[in-house]
Amino acid sequence: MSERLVDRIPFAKIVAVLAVTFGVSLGLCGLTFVLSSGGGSGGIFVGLGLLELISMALSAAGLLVTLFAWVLLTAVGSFGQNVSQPQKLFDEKEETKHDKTL
Amino acid sequence: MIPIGSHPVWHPVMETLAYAVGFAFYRTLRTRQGDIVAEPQRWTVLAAAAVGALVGSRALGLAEQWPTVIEAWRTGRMMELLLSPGGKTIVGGLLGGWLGVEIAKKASGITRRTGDLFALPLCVGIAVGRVGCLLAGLADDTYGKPTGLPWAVNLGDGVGRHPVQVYEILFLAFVGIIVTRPAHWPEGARFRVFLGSYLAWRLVIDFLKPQPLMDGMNLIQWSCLAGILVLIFDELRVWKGRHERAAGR
Repeated sequence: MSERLVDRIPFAKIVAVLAVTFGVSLGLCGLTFVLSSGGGSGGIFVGLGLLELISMALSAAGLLVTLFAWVLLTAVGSFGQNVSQPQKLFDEKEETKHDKTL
Repeated sequence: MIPIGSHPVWHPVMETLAYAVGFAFYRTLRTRQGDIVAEPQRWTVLAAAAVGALVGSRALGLAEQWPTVIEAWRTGRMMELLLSPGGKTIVGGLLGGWLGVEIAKKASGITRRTGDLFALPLCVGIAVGRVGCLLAGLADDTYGKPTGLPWAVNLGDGVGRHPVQVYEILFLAFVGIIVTRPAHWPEGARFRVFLGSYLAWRLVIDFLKPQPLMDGMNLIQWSCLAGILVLIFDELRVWKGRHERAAGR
């Protein structure tokens, strides 16, 4: 049987990377400096502010889209399976296989 | 008095470095010690921790500035406030990350305790981040109360203050040594020792920070107290379950 789409896309990895990117960009402080100095006086802070804005916007949008797609594909995938079984976000066989190797 | 001044530009540099160093430590530990869960599960845990930490640190950070939040709500500038830089707290990040992981574990059927690999990386990451807080000085809201002690730091206003960030770095070094001791620890114990001791530490050290109080403590201290109580309650629940299973055999 072919692998489901939700298992093929590394949603967890994408969400983790985007969340950290958003967290880091929120702490860059460049935007604060540019806004507080009334448009900024050039230099590192203007570049930092711009970088912060772009990465914040991209990571926030990416995070929302990825989370939505993850939940949607998981829900759609569970329709095709036995509905009485709980939906897993990963392959259970892999856990068992890995545990045996430890 | 030790002159340090206030250099806010170092805060984002050290914060970014903290994430990078923490992740490098996590990867090294995982390679050396192995993992109790498989790679896809670990990424589920990491994603839940990252999202939970992001939401938790922001939520508590904003709750600390509640008059600003109410004002933003009234004037319809809530989104602007949510996306504005700063206003994040480590305690909120830890509690949010912990809650996020527990929810994700429940949803995806992970029954193992997955936090041990994060204990040392969190100690190192927070310690590196605190260097940034110290260098940011008065621009960061984490400086200490005035003191006449010989190791007081001058953050640029001529007032000698407790170097609370340095106290925290020393404390984290101590906790880091404890949680990496090669003795046999029950699964999840290293993370819980880290979390419990860090929350207890913040409960105490925040008395040395000039922050607005609610019934004798600041909001972060109340959150620490709540976190400690949940941790104790959860440990008792686990212990009781184990005891009952053993008695039933």
